[in-house]
Amino acid sequence: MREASRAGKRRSVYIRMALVMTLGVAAGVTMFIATLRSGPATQVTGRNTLAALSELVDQQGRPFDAAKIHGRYAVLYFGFTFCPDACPLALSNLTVALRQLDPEAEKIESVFISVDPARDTPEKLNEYLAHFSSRIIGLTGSVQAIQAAEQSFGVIALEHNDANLPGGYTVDHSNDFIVLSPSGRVLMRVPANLSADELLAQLRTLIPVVEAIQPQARLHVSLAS
Amino acid sequence: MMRRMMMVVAMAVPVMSAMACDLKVESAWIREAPSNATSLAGYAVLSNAGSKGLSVVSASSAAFGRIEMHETLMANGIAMMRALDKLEIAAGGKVEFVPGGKHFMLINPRPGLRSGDAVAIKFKDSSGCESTIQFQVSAAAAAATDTMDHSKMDHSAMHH
Repeated sequence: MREASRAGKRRSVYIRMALVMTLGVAAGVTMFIATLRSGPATQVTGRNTLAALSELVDQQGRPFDAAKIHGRYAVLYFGFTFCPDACPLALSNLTVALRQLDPEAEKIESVFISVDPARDTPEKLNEYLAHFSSRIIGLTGSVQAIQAAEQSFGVIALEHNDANLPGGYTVDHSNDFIVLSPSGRVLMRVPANLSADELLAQLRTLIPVVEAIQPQARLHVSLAS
Repeated sequence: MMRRMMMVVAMAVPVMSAMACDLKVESAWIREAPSNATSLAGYAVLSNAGSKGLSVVSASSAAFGRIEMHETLMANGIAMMRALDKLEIAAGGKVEFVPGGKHFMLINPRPGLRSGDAVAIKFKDSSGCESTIQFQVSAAAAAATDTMDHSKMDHSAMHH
């Protein structure tokens, strides 16, 4: 009798443990899906992030139409043209990843946003971007408009004085690719110093997941293409 | 006497530069940038073939106003480029200058450097030994995929 009750108790403990584990996994999956749906809690809503980009001009000096991004995935990178090492590495990786992603790359807008608007004129952006994928849009603008864009995407950019450098300074800046969903929400940040293959793997994994969870994402893409 | 000493010096200089330095600079390349860029980045694998530690004292080239050693540091996702005051390489040691890490900051380049060009850079190590290395200019987009190949190639042995 005693043995049987102990065995029963043990069984109920196992059942309870299994239940807790199942609930835990379910909660994790739900949270993951919720994150993809709404973006991390700290992120500003999609509409606001795109609105900040509407104040900027592209490498031809034309006002940027943020609607161009809406309905498509976007990969944003904040950098500057006087940056000879980290930024060309990032843009090279992006160029290679976009080439490998073709024709899926059609779904992605790639945008390089200057953190050095004092020096990065549209002409400078145009010359610099000629060395990378022709798909990459370059954006610059007033100091205020650039700061607003940085804030919208949680990007940090700080001037660092170095008298030996041309112009006397460099810019320390967040070195991530920021991936936006077709509804303009931040889906993930990928360190920009990873290899092109790693960036490619992240985008390849992400796009089908988002499209499975957000049917409207596919709708936006088909509307846009 | 003075004239003889000068002759000895004049003869010694070419002998010195023809001697193999302990500082080896290999797989050297420069990322192509717009012709009006105010600085370019150069990359290479530096090694010390000697039995004593050495440091890189200077790098100079007719193609650049000034050459510094720099490093891109990452902290909390923020990239920061800082000048390296000196670079020491232990006996038998190797230091790689690669994109996103250490690089030669090639300030005020001669305009019009294009992919396929070779640029001579003169290095001086702490033993006083000088060597001139050819750096190959490579297209930016290609460089990301070429990095592996560059590390395997020995440009210093190439003849142009």
